[in-house]
This record gives sequence, C-alpha cells and structure tokens, in this order.
Amino acid sequence: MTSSLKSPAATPAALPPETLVITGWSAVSPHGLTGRAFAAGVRSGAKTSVQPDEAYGPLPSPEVCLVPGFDIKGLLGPVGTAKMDRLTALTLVASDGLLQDAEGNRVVETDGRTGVVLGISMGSLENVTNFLKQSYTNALPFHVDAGRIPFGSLNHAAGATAIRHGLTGPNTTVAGGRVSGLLALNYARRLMGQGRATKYLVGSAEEFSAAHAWIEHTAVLPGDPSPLLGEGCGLFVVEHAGTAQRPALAAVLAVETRVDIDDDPGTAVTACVRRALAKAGVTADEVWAAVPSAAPTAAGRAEHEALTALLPAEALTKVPSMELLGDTSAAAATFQIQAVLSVAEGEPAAAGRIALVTAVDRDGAVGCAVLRLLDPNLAPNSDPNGATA
Amino acid sequence: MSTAQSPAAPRSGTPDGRRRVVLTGLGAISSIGTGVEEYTEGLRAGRSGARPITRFDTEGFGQNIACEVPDFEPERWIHRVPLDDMGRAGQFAVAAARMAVDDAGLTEADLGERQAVISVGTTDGESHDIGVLVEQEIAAGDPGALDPVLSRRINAGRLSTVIARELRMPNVEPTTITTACAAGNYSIGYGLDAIRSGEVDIALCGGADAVCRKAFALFKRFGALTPDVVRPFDRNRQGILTGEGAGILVLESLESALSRGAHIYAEVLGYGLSCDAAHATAPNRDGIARGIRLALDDAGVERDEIDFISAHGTGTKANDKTESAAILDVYGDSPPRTVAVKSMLGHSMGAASALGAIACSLAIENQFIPPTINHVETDPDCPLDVVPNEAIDAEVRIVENNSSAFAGNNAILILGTYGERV
Repeated sequence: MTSSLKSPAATPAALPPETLVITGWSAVSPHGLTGRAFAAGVRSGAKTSVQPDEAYGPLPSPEVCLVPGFDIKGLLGPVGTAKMDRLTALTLVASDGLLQDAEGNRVVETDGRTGVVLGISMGSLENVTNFLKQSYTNALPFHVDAGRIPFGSLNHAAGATAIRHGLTGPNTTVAGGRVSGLLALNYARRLMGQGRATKYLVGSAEEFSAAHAWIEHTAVLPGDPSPLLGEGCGLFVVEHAGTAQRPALAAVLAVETRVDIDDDPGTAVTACVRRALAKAGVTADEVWAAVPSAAPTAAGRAEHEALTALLPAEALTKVPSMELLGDTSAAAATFQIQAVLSVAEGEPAAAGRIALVTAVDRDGAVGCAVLRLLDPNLAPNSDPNGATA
Repeated sequence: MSTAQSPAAPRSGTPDGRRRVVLTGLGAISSIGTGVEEYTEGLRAGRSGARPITRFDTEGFGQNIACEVPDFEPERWIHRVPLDDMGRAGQFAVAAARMAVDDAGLTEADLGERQAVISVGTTDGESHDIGVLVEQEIAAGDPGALDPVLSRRINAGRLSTVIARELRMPNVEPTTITTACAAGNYSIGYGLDAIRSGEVDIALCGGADAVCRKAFALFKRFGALTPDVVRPFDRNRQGILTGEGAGILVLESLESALSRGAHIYAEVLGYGLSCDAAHATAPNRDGIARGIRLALDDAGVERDEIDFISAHGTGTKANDKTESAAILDVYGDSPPRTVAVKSMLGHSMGAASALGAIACSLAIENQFIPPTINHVETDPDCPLDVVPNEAIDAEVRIVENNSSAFAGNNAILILGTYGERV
C-alpha cells in the first residue's frame, strides 16, 4: 500500500465525527443491476443505448438507455409485484443491492432510526397516465384499476423501501429532477445533523416509460435535441464518520443548491460551485475529478462551460461523460457521484482527493456536491468487497 | 394580541443550545378564505368550502363536489413569472409565498441574496396538467400531441423553484417534498431543521395542491369520497372531499425576527417523523403514536401542555378511528380537544397540514379553537371532544398539528406561543 504517501484526510479517522460519509452504494442502471456492473461499465466507457422493445409502442426516439434484464417479478418475486410500477421496482432492487449481499443476507445494520430519502422528478408517469387514461376511456370515470393506485403516490417507492426492509425512521421523498439526488443528500445530512436519524438510505430514481419519453420530447426547448433518455436508481448508505459501522468511501464536504432566476444557468452554476468549494474549504485547483450532469440542453452546455472555466482541465476528463447513460433525469446526480466512486476505486491515487459533481434542471434548480474520496482499506474492519454491492 | 408578547426569553436557544425558530409570516389560499384575515374568519365561523367542481368534467362520477378555491386571481400576487410557467398548484404556491413574505414585512431587498430554504410539499403537484395532456393524447390519437407549455411544467420540483424566481431569491435550496398528504408538515419540519442547523435564518415552507381528476377518481374508486359533506370523527362519516389551496409559512430564526422587530405569530417548537413500514395505504396506530411522541420529545413539551390537536382528521372510517386510537395511546383517557379543519377545507392534500399549521398559528394568535363542522354524533370509536360545529374562545399556548400519508408516513408538528414557554 502507498498509504504513507496519502493525505491524512484520506482516513476517516481524521474527519470530524459529524462529517457525513458514504459507506456503501448500489446502482440499478443501464450498465446493469448492480453497483459492480455500474462501476465496470463506467470505467470501460461502455455505451448503453438500445432499441427498445416494441411493447413500448411508438416512441419519439429510436434508442433509449434501459436497465438491461429488468424483470420485476423475476427480481422481486411474485408477491406484490403484479401491478408494481417500474420506479418502485428499480428502487427496491437497488435497496436490496445496498443492504444485502448476493445471497440475500443483510450486510448493513439498520435500526429504528434508519431513514430513507429518495429524489424523484414526478414519480411513475406511466402509472398516473394509465390511471387517467382508464378514467377517460372506461365506461365510468372511476372504473380504474384499484390495485395500481397505491403505486401512483409520489412517495410510494420510498415507503415501499421502508416496508421491504423494516425501516421506521424518517421517510421522505423530494422532487427536483436532475438535482433531486443532491437535494436528497442534503436532506439526509440535515436530519442526521439534528439527530433524527442514525443513518440514511439516500438516493434518487427515474423510470423510463413511453409517457415519460413523450412528455420529455414535447418539453424540449427550441434548439435542443430530443433527449436520449436513461433510467435507474442509485442509492447510498450515509453515516456520520464518528459512528460509521462500515468503511467510508467518501466524505460529503458540502452540498449547495441554488435557483437560476435569470435564465442564465452558467452564472448560477458558477456561483453554486464557488460556494460549495468555499464551504468545503478547498480550492478549485484541488478538484481531482468533476462530473457535470451532461444534460442534453442549453443549461447542460452552460454547466459544462462553467466547470471548464473554473476547474483544472484534467478534472473534467477523469470520469467518462454521463451521456453514456442517457439523460437519467432524477437518477442523474446520484449516478454522477457513483461514477466518481467507480473511477476512484480503480485508482489508488484518488484517495484523499477532491471530487465535485454538479446538476442543472429544467425547473431552474442547480446543485453542487463536493466530496473527499477516501481509501476504504485504511478503515478498521475494512471490507472493500462489501462496499460496492 | 397574545404575541405582542411577554418579553422575549433571555436565551436565544433552547436549553440544549438549539436555535429557536418562529413564524413571522403566513400566506393562506383556501376554499374558505384567502389571506390571513379571511382565513381566520372562515375558521372562526366554521365555514364550509364545499362547492361544485369547475376544474374538470365530472360527468359519470355521480357526484361533483370538492373544496375548490373560488375566484382565485393569480395576477394579484404573481408579477414576474409568466402565469403559464406554472400550473394551478404552482400558482397557489407562489401566491401564498408572496402573501407570506408580505405578511412578514420582508421586502425583496430583505430577501435578495440571502441564503434560504424554500420547501413546498405536495401530493399531486400539477397532476391536473397531466390529466389535460392525457386528454390531448386521446383526442388526437397521437402520443406526441402534447402542449409543450404543459409538458415543461409538470415536475413537482417547480413548485419551489418558481417561488424563488418570482421573489428573486437565487440563493436558496428548493426542496419540494412529495410525501403526499403529510408533505406540508414535512416541509415545515425541514425548514425548522435548516434554521436550527445555523445554516440559514429563513425558510419559506408549506404545501400546495390543486383539485384534479386524478385525486377525485382515486378516492371515488377507494370508496372514500363522501357524497355530501365531511364529518370527521362522526359516527356517520362517509369519507373525504378533495380540496385545494396553499399554505406557506415564513420560518425565521428568533435572532433574525427580533433584530428586525418582526411580528411573531408562534414558535415552531418541534416535529416528529415516523414511518410505519407496514402498509401502502392503511393508517397505522403505532406509527402515528410514535410520531406524536417524537414530536413532543423534540419540542420538549409535556403531554398535558397541549391545548388542542389539529388532527389529520380526514373523515374516512379508517383514518379517524386509527388516529383517535393513537391519540388515546399517547394521551390516555383525557386527551386534548381534537379538531379536524378538513371538515371545512376538505382534504387539500399536500397543502392540508400547511393550512392546518396556519390554522394552529392563528388559533394561538387569536386565542380560539376552530371547530369540527358537520358534526352530529361523535363515533364511540373516536371518544374525543372535537369542538363540534362552533369555534370556542380558549387559552391556546401549545398546539399539535397531525398529518399522515399513504406509504405509511406520519409528520407531527408542535407550535407554541412565543415567549411563554417555561
């Protein structure tokens, strides 16, 4: 090991005890069903777009970045899944990957104050549009499929995660599109800081559906292309450094958000990044890897330009572009952090270095998180194989 | 005025060093009145917001009553952002936010670059717009025949960002919370935590929802829609009416409020969140009781200090029975008076607990307890003094505001008279 060369900050023990640390993660993504598949896919720069099955009906775009092999009943069993929406299923499979090993044994301890916070855009649009279609076209307007109703609640995926794993702590759903993963992370940080939870499952999710595709297609602003859409769910376990039960992969030094009120996303991103770096107590020169959302919009291009102007050029090339996953909307910011962790896992030089992710959303939200990458091998009870489910 | 108040307690934090948080501005848009004055009058008079639905075609439903906001004039409150940048729920949210900051005496110069949280809770967001998009697709027989103006504005995150745009507040955390019918309390709690953390001094929090076909069809299908009026805790209750509106509250650190001589309606003493982790739609007695206990603990309030409870009180068989049992579990045989403002407002979904919190603030401000209207015979399964039909004058110092949501989420808020807490 080269630990003698590393910054002392690479060890969790050097962090203030209330620092939020990421101690595990899982991803159900266009790269596959597990964090391992995601990490391998990110590191190889694999393309994920496919031609969707004809069962989707007409779609505005010939390709989409779908989670491969996502068979809900096969993955979650027959009970309670017949009418389950895809968003909930993506979240539940990700939660299994987060808390359990491949054999289904629980590997992350939880208690009565373990919280869940999930970022979304607008839940399962397939569920709500199908419900409304039934209401408009069936013999009577309330002749709708009652069995699907619970899945149409915007907080269902988070609540279902709690039910599946017996998590009775604070359970929250936040909406913010591409920024929602950062809003969720900050929400967890705040509530843990106030002693409301001992640890959190935190992340964000988006499902692909024809309804989502057509709404996104028609929402495109003049001059922007119809988006190549992606989907998936990324989740983290976060704990306080002082009480973490598992090796820390990264410390969350700052999460800052802002609203672009002047239709000038570049300026908003610049202000947000500067504030986040200041809060984290690091300089722009220290940023080792930076991952913008790569949104296929003017705001996404402005985001990239803002980071190019602010940060070392090599920081923006460390992690392959998120374009390879498609526009994963609400799942994006969580996947961005996981992409950095994936690259860092394969690079011993990453430990102790600074990573930064940004996000911009159509509704005007802007976000930036600053992390310090840690070397999990330096932590007591090191279990690097368990860290990435 | 009760809050012209006993002199400020000398401490600026609670005994454990936490920062204190107070309410300095209220914005209410409801089916029984818009603005603090009208809303207070509506609560005192026990007004009913029930009226025929105008938002969508109710043919075939066999009923057509909801608690819509009548005569809403968004242009009175929304000056900067084009009105079609947001749907009805967004318009309610922005108008209520403008009302709340005006009520707090905060100018745009006061807000400006100030770091703040804007957190709007919602159940359905702009689901009415999604319904219109589905109608457009069906009418055209073409999934691409969607109005781009609507497609762009359906995501719930916009409910918070559009307030920032209208009020010219760029330096904010725009956290829309979509924890369904408990979302208003969740948002207020989040603002409390953000200010307690010391990271911000101000938060605009609450909830907004608009009457929509989705909610109406859903509750009709579940058999949870009353054919006439909402009778919470009554033996013959038959369900909810869907409702709408927005409640936005200005939460401010005590230091900030005192330094600018702001009027203080009430102090946010604490809140509790619990998750049943049990059933996707059914209320859960233990989960609600745990949420109440967590809130009391967080507030540092004893059970016998609660002057009344503003219940979730939807008027369904299941909720009212379960919530009553949870209240008795916590409070024993002599629970505080427990009222359901949903008897007047219907179920305004994500706005419900925000409008409930504003009702509690106004009860503290004006020393009265709003009634549970339409009440004939208390259900033996709900052995509570529901303050039937007529508001009462009462000494009101500390109040509990309950909310629960599908997916097993409970959020309980405790408000108190500022300055009188021992």
